Amino acid sequence: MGQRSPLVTLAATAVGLVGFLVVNSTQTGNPTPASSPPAVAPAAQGTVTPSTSESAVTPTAPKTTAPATTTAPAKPPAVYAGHTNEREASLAIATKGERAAAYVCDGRRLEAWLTGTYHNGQLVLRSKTGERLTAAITNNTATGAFTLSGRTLRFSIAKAGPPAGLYRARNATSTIGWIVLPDGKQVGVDDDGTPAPAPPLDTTRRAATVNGVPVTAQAVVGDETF
Amino acid sequence: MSTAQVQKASTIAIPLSVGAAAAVALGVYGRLHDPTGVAINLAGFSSFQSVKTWLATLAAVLGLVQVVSAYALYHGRPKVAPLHRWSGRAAVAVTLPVVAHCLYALGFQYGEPRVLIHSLLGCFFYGAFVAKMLTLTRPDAPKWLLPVVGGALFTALIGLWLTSALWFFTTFGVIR
Repeated sequence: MGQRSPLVTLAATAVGLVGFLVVNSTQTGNPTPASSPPAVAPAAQGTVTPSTSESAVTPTAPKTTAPATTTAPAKPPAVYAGHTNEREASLAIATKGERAAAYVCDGRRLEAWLTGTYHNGQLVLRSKTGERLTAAITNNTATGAFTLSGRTLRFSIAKAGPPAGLYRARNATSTIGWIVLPDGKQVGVDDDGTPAPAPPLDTTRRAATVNGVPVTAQAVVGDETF
Repeated sequence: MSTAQVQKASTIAIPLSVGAAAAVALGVYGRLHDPTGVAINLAGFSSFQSVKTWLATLAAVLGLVQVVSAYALYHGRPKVAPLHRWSGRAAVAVTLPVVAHCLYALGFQYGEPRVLIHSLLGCFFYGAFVAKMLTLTRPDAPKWLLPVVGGALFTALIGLWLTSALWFFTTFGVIR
């Protein structure tokens, strides 16, 4: 065995890695979280031979997401998802223009749907049942507090892109909310009068089965009224 | 130190320090690059997480082939050398789309112990891989060095699998 062959392997691996990073940055383009589903890659990306990545030589710097400017007139839609600081509950906030919608749930029985406004980097949301959520958005992070029946849960959650986000499905008997966290974990509550853990959501097809009935979920973008 | 001593020390120090530098570089990139949360997806899978899970599982199986073939190599079966070489290349190749997604879409995170361990092991794995490849180019390296870096590589790979694919399978079930 030639002494250089491990170096060739090493070089091919490095080129392959750079190639996949470039593929990621070109295929996903400028991500607009919460609106576009993940781009489906051409079949060629399934191959793992480093030779597919000769184009990797072009030094394409990985794109960063557009920062959420809080003062610009046209605010890009955004979704923030994460846990409260003490992990009592998960929450997701979607903003579109000057409107915002949010969902807080513990994945078992507590849940709240909130809607409100987004002015000057400040979110103020309320639910029909009296819960309140306020937050400030800076540097792709929403920091604030959620208040339910006198209890305050603080949070600091980051901007997330699809499939992470906030999903909602309705049918004649139930309303289901799902928060898909940036790591792919799902937290949701199915409310048909008695809140219960939500069934798993297929984030690609946005479909789930509730009590044997298939339902289709919508991504919540922020201008909804619940 | 005499020249011979310096040379001897460098056969160990160069692979290990270059490997360490590679691990640190990956960690720094994962931390500095603003995670996009989005990345390419493949048709036929419910999410890229499940693609990654299956690729990681394949890599772990190839990692087992590595250990078995390495054992055979050290016990007088030089015929398995091509198997060892190519299963290793294949194992690293299937991890590349996975690590590209990890680094590009998720970044170096430490919100939970599992995630922290996974992030650290991910950087360590490629550092160990670099160290192993560089060790192979030095036949004058001490006999213990190659098994040690190879063992570190395998340990990291299994640790990565446990903190990602096993977690995925136990959380979402064995799905595509």
